[in-house]
Amino acid sequence: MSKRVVITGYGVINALGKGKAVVEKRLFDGEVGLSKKIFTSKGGDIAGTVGEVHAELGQDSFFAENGLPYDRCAQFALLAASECLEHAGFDLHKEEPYRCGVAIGTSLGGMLSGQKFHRQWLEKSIDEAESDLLVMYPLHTIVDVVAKKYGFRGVKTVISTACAASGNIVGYGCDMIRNGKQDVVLAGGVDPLSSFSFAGFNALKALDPERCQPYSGSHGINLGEGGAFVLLEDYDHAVSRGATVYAEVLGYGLSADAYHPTAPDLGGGGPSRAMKAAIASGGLTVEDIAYVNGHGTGTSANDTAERLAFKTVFQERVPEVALSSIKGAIGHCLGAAGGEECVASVMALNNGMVPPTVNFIENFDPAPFNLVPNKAQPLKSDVVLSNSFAFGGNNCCLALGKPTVQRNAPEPEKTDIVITGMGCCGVGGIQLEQLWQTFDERRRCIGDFTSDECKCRQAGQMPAIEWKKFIPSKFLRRIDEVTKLTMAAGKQALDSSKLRVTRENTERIGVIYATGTGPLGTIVNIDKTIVQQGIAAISLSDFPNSVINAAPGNFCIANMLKGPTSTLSNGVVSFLLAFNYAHALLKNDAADAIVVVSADECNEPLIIGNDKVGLLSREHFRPMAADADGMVLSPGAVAVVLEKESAAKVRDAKIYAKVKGLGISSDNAKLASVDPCGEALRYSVRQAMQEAGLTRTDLYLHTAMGIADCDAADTNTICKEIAEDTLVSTVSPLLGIASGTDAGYSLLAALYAFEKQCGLGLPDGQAAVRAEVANRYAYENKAAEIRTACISGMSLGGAYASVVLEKYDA
Amino acid sequence: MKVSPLKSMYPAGVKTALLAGCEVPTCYTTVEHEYDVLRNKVGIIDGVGYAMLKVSGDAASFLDRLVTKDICFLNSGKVCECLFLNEDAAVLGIAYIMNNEDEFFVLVPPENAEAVTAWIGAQPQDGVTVKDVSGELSMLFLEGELSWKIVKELFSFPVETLPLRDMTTLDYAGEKLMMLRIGRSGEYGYCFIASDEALVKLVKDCRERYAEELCLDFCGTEALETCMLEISQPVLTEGAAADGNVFELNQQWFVQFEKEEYVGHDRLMELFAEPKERLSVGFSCAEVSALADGTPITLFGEEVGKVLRCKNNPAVGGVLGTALLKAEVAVSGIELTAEGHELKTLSSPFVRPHSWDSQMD
Repeated sequence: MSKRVVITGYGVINALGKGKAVVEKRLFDGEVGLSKKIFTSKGGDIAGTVGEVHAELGQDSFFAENGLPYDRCAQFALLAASECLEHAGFDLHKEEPYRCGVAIGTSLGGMLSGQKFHRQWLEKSIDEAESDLLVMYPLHTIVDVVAKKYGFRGVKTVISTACAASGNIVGYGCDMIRNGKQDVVLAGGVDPLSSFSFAGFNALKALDPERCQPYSGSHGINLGEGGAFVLLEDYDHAVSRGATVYAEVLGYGLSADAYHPTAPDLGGGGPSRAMKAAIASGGLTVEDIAYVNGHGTGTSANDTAERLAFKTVFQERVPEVALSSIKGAIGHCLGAAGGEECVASVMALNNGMVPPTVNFIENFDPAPFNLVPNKAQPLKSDVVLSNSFAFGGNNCCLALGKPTVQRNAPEPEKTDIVITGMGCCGVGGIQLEQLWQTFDERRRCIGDFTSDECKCRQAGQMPAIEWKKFIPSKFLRRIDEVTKLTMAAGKQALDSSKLRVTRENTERIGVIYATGTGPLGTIVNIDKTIVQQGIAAISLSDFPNSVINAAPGNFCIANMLKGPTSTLSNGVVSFLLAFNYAHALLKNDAADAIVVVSADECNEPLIIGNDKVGLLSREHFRPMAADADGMVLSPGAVAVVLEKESAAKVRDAKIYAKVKGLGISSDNAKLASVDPCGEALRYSVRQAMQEAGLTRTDLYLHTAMGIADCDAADTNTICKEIAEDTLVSTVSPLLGIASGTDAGYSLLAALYAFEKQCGLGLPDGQAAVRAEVANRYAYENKAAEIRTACISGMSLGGAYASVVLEKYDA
Repeated sequence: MKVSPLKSMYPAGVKTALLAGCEVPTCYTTVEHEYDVLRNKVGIIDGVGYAMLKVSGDAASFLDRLVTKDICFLNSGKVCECLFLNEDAAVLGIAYIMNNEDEFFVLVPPENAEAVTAWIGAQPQDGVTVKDVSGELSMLFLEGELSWKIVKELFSFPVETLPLRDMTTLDYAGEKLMMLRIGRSGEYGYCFIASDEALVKLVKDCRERYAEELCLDFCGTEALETCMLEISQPVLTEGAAADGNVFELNQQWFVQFEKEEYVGHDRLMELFAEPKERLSVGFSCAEVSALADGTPITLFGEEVGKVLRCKNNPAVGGVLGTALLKAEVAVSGIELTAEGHELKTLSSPFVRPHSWDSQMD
């Protein structure tokens, strides 16, 4: 029977206040936390109504203890996480830390720190800009901070699907518990108010200058900020430690609109599918539900689509099911919204009331809906749904209930997961054939890079590409580089799998996207415009590309993929985390096939930024050498189609490999670094091998970043965890590090090895690798019987993942 | 000659025209009544005369070379409205191209059916099979502001989830009926493609349930073209190519400008780059009930263009039409003269369809 996942604690901060007690009281009393704010900028100040946190935040000791600058978003996360853990009575010292993870949904992460850095750069110089601010900027820094603060060493993941991020992260956390990898996941959402978001929504004309009126006036949104965390726990684990159970996560559903980059499908198809999936996955029926905590942003398009979806799901029960939005009280907290609403839903289950939709127009007739106007109502069921629908067409719905709810949760079919398609675009080749040739020739793809603003002189090179071969021309004029890479690689993988997308199967094919860098070029351009010209100067066409999940959203639209969709980002290990998540979704029968696609740009701001914090090699990239001096960055995209073996066999697909085992872990290294002892990396490799039932594999592929501590961790892992007769290999001497896509290239190298029955050797002229492991590598493409491979990856900040593949015999 | 399976259901006195080798109904009762049905109720438009070609094999690549929009990236279940051009960028016809999983359908209105069918037939067909399926299948349209309601209730189908230019298949009368959300009147519209028997049954079922509320009379091409004129939908009859090019006739929305390879592309882009000496614009005239195509139009006594197409229009009283004028006067809101009568130029839509402002419930 599937594991039950319960919520044993929660913490929250938003415009209503700091802490669950004050938030709950004010929320259910129908109070409004919105306030006026002036966004000052060159070109003119703009006033808005926002959900700003006015509570005294203090400053967590974490910043000073770790020599880091204060970051508002991180502070929200620490406050809410702290309250959550205390509420749960959770003591990590009594736990196996590798079985306790942290997962956070956020749109902006350390954007405020990044903007501060960028302003210093633009207004002074790169040399005068504070590099510590840049350390706080990446999306995954938030999860690194929280994990390090409390010592969690399990999964460490960021999901960044805009407004659906933290609803999705709760579901993700449940999957990590249900697949047996974790006992506990501290899951939450966090986002700050920022001029970046304000400028974007202002350009879209989506803001209501006054208090927003979800479901009645529907004139637009008010941006908000805050943080909300829940402690997800395996039910048996919670009972054994005597925890109080506040709610159970009965199920959740994800879907993609595949409709438009920013506008929701007015027919509500995507949202209704997510809601139905949540109900079905929880073994529930519509009769079990009497309250939906709606997405309810206050825009006409969103409110209309949600009401339509609601009608599609509940039909004649519409008048009996309350639908309310709390965004009128706290604003739209973007990546934190799902987490805030999950906590509000848990509060509702515990206090027996439904929070009101405040600011509701008094004489607005909501019939046939019950939109809970302005005043809380009694909750008439033990199950609630919580909706989050995002830009890019990502939809998420959580089904939460009292732990006493009786249900028949469906048992997923037991099937293995296989790889049936692959594609790539970027360094090493714009198509798989070219990459294979690069591997055949062991050809270095690292070339010259010049900039007056950094010392690094190298970058990975990508051949010229005819984008229109892979991407419909109507997309090309409005998408950015990372989206092009995503769509090209993804299309190739789909074509290679010969999986034809039809009306019948479109909702069963998902997309899980990974990126280390996201649309950095677009973000930098927008921020530069804000700094130099002002908020009002932002182009309407630029902003949609600035959300991290824009790329998969466009890929879904172009290929009509409407299944579960998500976006993960945690530095260099991102691809493997996405792979892991896709595997879990398939195992849980959320889809029949998932395109796992990872893409990363490599542009001047990225290189200059990494150089600024001392991560890049200067002249000669020499990964795994004793005197390695840093990494080299490359552009790239990799996509694979993961499919249930049973589904692949039904359509007689060619199967390249079977997924045999997965491992995931983290350490609490210094930010932007890793623990050189490699203990956590070794744990992930060991976990993957154990799950695969193997003590050795024929091939082991690893990151080889060329950064001393990272290479040390790799070295220790090879020496202590990898069998002597396993061929060791790495793609980085040929390709550099394609940021979050790096491990995707390692995985392709494993599939290359399966096909060619030889392991990828180091290139000619490669600097001597560390003595401890020098004899583990081949210096040519060595013919060997290669049937199993282990691929590992790591991120700066200390997140690790490993996968074991087996060559497939038909 | 294809005979419509619905012919036995026509009212007495139907007027027809010979188009594409078929008797295509032009008016069943009166244009005024049928126009009212399309604009205010739900009308049935017989699809007899449409070319219906099924293209299989490497259909996407084959068709992509011939039309003005992407077909290679047309996903399954999607419909594309595009133009077939010859090498001189003269319009051969409008077509709907539909991706129905293993095969593509090309649907061409009667006025262009023969020209486009001949053109496709003349292309090299390596790797594809082109089959005329009008002998096996027939088409009809339901168009009108509440046509969605019929679809929703009759088929228990979540009609709100079917966007414009999408298609689906429905189980009906023991077969798979193809339903496309397309239409030419500007109202909500659904096209059904199925066997003769299924379409006859469909009309009977619709009328039995909805005739009282929604009328469901047959509407001919005259009423349909009256509606089409109101929203600048082109009726590209045989002589229309001589009227002007795609840009002069303001039909550039049929062209996907990012697409760079198809028959006629290069010449079309030359035309696009050229300064436009003539442009089309809509007009109304309350003083007459008809103006012949080609009637000269003057401004302050100087000839500035001619009437392209003109129809009596029940909504505005008098006539509504399109004119091809010298570019400098092809603007809305001015007064011109034709045969001594005052014309007033309009911007599109000349009459706004109700469906543009109403939502499905």
